[in-house]
Amino acid sequence: MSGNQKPSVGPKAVRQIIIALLLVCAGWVLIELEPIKELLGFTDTEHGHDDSEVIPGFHTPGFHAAYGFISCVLLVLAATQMRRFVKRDEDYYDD
Amino acid sequence: MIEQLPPGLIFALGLLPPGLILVLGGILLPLIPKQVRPLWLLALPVFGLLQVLQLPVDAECVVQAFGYDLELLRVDKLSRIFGIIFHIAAFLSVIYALHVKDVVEQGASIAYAGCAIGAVFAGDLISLFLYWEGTAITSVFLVWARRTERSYKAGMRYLVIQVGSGVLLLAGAMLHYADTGSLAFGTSWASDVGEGLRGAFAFETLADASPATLLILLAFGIKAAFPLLHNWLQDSYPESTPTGTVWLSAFTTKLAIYALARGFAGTELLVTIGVVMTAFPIFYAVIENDLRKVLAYSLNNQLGFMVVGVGIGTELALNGAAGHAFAHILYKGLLFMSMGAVLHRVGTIKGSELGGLWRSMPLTTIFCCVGAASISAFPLFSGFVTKSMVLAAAVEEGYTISFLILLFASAGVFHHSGIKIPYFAFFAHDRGLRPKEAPKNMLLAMAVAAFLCVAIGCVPGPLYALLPFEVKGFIPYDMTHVVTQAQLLFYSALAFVFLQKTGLYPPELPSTNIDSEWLYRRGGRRLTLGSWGACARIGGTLRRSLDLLVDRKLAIIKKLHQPDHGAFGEPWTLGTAAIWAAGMLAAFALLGLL
Repeated sequence: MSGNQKPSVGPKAVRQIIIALLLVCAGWVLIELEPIKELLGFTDTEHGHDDSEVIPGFHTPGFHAAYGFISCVLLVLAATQMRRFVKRDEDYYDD
Repeated sequence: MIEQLPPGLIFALGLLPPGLILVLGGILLPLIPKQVRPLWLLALPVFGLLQVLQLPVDAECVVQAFGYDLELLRVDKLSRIFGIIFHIAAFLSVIYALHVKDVVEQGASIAYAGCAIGAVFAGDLISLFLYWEGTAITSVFLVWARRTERSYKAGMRYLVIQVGSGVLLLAGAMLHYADTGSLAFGTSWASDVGEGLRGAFAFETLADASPATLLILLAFGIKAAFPLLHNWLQDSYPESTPTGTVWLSAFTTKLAIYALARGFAGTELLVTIGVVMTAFPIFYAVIENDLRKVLAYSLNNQLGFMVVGVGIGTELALNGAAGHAFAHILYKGLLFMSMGAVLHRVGTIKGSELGGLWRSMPLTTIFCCVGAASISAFPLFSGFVTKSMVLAAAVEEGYTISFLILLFASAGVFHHSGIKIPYFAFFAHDRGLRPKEAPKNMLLAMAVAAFLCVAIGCVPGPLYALLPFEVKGFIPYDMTHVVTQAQLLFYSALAFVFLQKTGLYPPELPSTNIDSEWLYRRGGRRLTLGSWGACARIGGTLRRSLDLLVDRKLAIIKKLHQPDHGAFGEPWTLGTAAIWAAGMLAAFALLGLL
């Protein structure tokens, strides 16, 4: 299984992917801002249920963006700490 | 309108109860010439699906056996959607496994699918039990098919737990019959459409639930991988063959979801259980090194969304649960197919040993990414149009905290299934692996599954038409749904990049992460060995004490009977004997007088 340990995608391509991701991320939040919505002619459509009353701040622009980012960072940090308690040798059950 | 089909007619027409075509086909497989077997295997799900499609919704077939009413066939929209997707999954799995020559694996897999199909069309608890155990017994051969000691042991553990679930179901059925005099497994949903639909055994609080109900819930809960009852899944699925895991991923757990929907729709406890199921496996998925085990954890997480839908129990939520099960079987099958292809070509599926495979397995990479996008519920992919129904139902019914946890789990599933799986297998570090692209039959199965994932995501109408209830007022592609979901996912991706760049992302390490299986693989063993040792020690002490006691008594007796010295050993004179005899006679005389 040994071999070279270089990244499988070149640094230039990685940089381009990250820039594209940042642009897309910015775009999905900007699209929620009222002036942009009006500019593009988007309106909130009826989707069969009303969720604005239930969760405060649910329709604040960027709520889901922040929720997604923070969730994932916390998930990974918590899971990393969990290794302290649950990680054993690969052949732990084999003996 | 219930159309009663007489059993004689069914058999006269050659219409076996659904599922039995596949079961019998699997049993007869060894008798079929080797060259014909692939065609035979491909034909079975096709015939089975045609049979299901021509059965009218509301068809029933009740037979009397041993004084009980057995409802061998009940077709309603709930059983129908599961029946259809099980046939599609069987067909795709047959294509994926066309290169397999092991007749035991082939026969067991198609019979396994048949048992699951039979179970969703069974209208009484005894028939359900028989098929339930059928899925356990046939599917264990798929775990054993790897033919390693690890897979043999994992298969044994799997078998004990699965058969145990069946035994609990039977016990529950018997108690239920004693309580109610009925063996019916709920009623046809088509005749029950309307407000307030609840499962046959649904309950408000645990205190209201009868022992029969709890036993049946426990039986379903084991197969649905409820928290702490879940670990058979992550233990056994990754030990199977590349093809076996694809079969396993489709049927057992989704049969349990069907059974929960039929039995416990509207039971609020399931919302809590489902929410826990969505959240806790993703922590394990992040640190797991075996990529098929990562998928097993994410399977557990996806089942959670379905269990929540069943627990909420409204039409929208139940549509979401059934629809998500349909979509899930396809995308999860696709993900297991892509990882199976990697295992087949490279010989390992450990994240710490993989990377850079996109160069030599580009098509598998693309198909894996489609599966990853679908499970992550990206707009235009299948998971989006089904999972959003469950989330919308949770909001509608006021499950705010549950909804926020589901949202967290949605972000998490993208993190580990959407990004981690393709990233560590196909990208990440180039380890110089240049295997051949997956075999053609595997690619074909993956292509069809990927096509269906995209088709359902882009045109959800045909799937919505199959759902148990009419989809009213729910629009998946509205501005709010798309924007919020896109934000959630793209910012999760951003978090992954951030964690990678800052070195906070945990590396893939060769390791075993202990989970609830520890209780029976280590804890139980220690308990048994410890108890055995303690029993042996107590037994030894008792035996030694007894030996000592007996030795002492023997020594006294020996001393008393010693010739010349002991009281009883030396010869008595005639006078002494006469005195003893007189004393004895006097004692008897006194006793007689008393």
